Amino acid sequence: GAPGLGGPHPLVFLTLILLATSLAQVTPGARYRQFLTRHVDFPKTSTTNDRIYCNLLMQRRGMTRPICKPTNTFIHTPADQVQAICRHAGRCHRQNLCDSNAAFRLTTCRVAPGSHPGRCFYRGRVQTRQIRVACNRLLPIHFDRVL
Amino acid sequence: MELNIQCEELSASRWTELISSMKTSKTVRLDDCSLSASSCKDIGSVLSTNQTLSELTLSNNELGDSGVELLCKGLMTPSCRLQKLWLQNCNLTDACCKNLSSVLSTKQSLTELHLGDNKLGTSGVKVLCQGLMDPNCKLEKLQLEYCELTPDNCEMLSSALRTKSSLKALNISNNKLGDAAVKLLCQGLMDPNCNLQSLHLENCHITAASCGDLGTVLSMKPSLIELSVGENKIGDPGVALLCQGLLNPNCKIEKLWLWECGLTPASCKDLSHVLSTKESLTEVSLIGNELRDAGMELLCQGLKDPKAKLQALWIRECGLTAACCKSVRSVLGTNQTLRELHMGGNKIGDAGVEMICEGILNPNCNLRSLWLGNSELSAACCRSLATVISTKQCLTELDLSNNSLADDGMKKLCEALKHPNCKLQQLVLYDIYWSSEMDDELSVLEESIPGLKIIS
Repeated sequence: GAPGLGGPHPLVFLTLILLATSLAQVTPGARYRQFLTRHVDFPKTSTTNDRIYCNLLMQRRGMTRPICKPTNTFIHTPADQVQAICRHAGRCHRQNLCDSNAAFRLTTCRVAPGSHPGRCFYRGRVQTRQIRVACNRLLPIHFDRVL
Repeated sequence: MELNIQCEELSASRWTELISSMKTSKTVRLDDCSLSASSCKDIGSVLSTNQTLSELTLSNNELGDSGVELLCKGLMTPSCRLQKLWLQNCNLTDACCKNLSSVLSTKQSLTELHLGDNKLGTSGVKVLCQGLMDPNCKLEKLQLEYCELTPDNCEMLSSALRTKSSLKALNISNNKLGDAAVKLLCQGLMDPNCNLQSLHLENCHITAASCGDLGTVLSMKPSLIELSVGENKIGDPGVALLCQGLLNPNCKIEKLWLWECGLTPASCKDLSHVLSTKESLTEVSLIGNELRDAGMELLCQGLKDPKAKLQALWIRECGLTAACCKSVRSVLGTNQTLRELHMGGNKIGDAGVEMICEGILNPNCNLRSLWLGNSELSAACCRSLATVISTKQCLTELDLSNNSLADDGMKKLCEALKHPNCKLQQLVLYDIYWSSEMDDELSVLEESIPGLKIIS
């Protein structure tokens, strides 16, 4: 090894850095990815109307099997803007719940009464509102509500 | 052999593979696969060669009229024996109806046609009906939801009902029809030739004014076992008229959907009477009607009658609170036929659920499926729920979505899931916020219990 002043071997530093970066990705990764799949659609997928939007998106994002997810809100902004709610772009309070400062374009899908497993039909409602999300390690992992 | 693909973009090489396997498939489903008119050429040739293909679903693909024209070419070949065809939301217009009509008047094998979410319009549906009327046509199920039908279409549909004794199910929901048009339909329905079993007229702009005629149909046609008039403001007067028909001994109704009909507690006396008299009635939906506790209590009286044979009850979003849960508990303690109870969207809270759990624990209760989503529940009711989960072996499905159960509540449920008496197969926990630790615990738990699926 290279002569030095008694500090750790460079390889040790390298190992520590790699370990640190991988740890930072592991735990909130899966939940954050699910949050994106379920709640972020940007740019908004183009469809004939909001009802068909919901029927298609709920199906595409895996929320209709085996049970029709009762309600779900899609946010039509880039993921990084949604992420920012957990940092500077939101007001956080207890239980890691953070309210966005800005209002976002949203489509909220609610299951229609005639639906049952295997046949999920939805109603869509478009609005521009602030939202509340739960954050874990500065990443949104749960959509709490439209404010 | 079944081919079933949903929500997938298919590369050229994958498409070639699929065409190959389609040639020997019995059922093919390619839902929302970015198919286009050009895909229809290939599918058309499959249709003309595969004699075993009996079901084809191509919903949610921009096939367009030209695509359907190509499909119909394949459908028309004598060797094609297709029975069921789904083309919902395929960007079709009246232009393709001539082709579809030809298929209807030629293909005796075709028993089901689903064309919802296509702007066929008055003229398109008229052309379609011409094919329907052909003696060769043996169609059993016709679905035209959101097809922009108008009252003008109902005369021909009425004729079809009069002549097509093969027609078992008609769904024309979500088209602006109105009372006059529905009365016309009723005339067709009453024809001795008509054997319709299932009729869906949801959101068809019907009011109490047509309910007399619908009631008459119910009282004359034992074949009609399924009726849905959901999302029509028929109100209490409308339901009263329907109930008159329902109570007739000729009526053998099994499934009745009256969701979002503008009903109030006043409807519940008649409905209760139907529940306690009509032994054929197995499924009722009253979702989205302000029945309130008073109305629910009346319904419960009917459900306690030994003649009540209801198996599934939907009372989501009916303005119920804990106050009516005493009566629900009483029903659960006496009624042995109820298997499914959907009560979500009511502010019954922990107190209400605790009473319901007591009812479920009664040995008389054979409930299999309990839905309590969005019911203002908290960790406090999880002890009662845990007791039910670990005791009631007949309970296989439980929904607690959209309730703030918190880690505390979830922990209690997890303990119960581990119990050997727990026979739960599906635990639905959508939109409940819990910690990452709880998330991990649930994953581990699900893996350790083979029959259990946790849906979140």
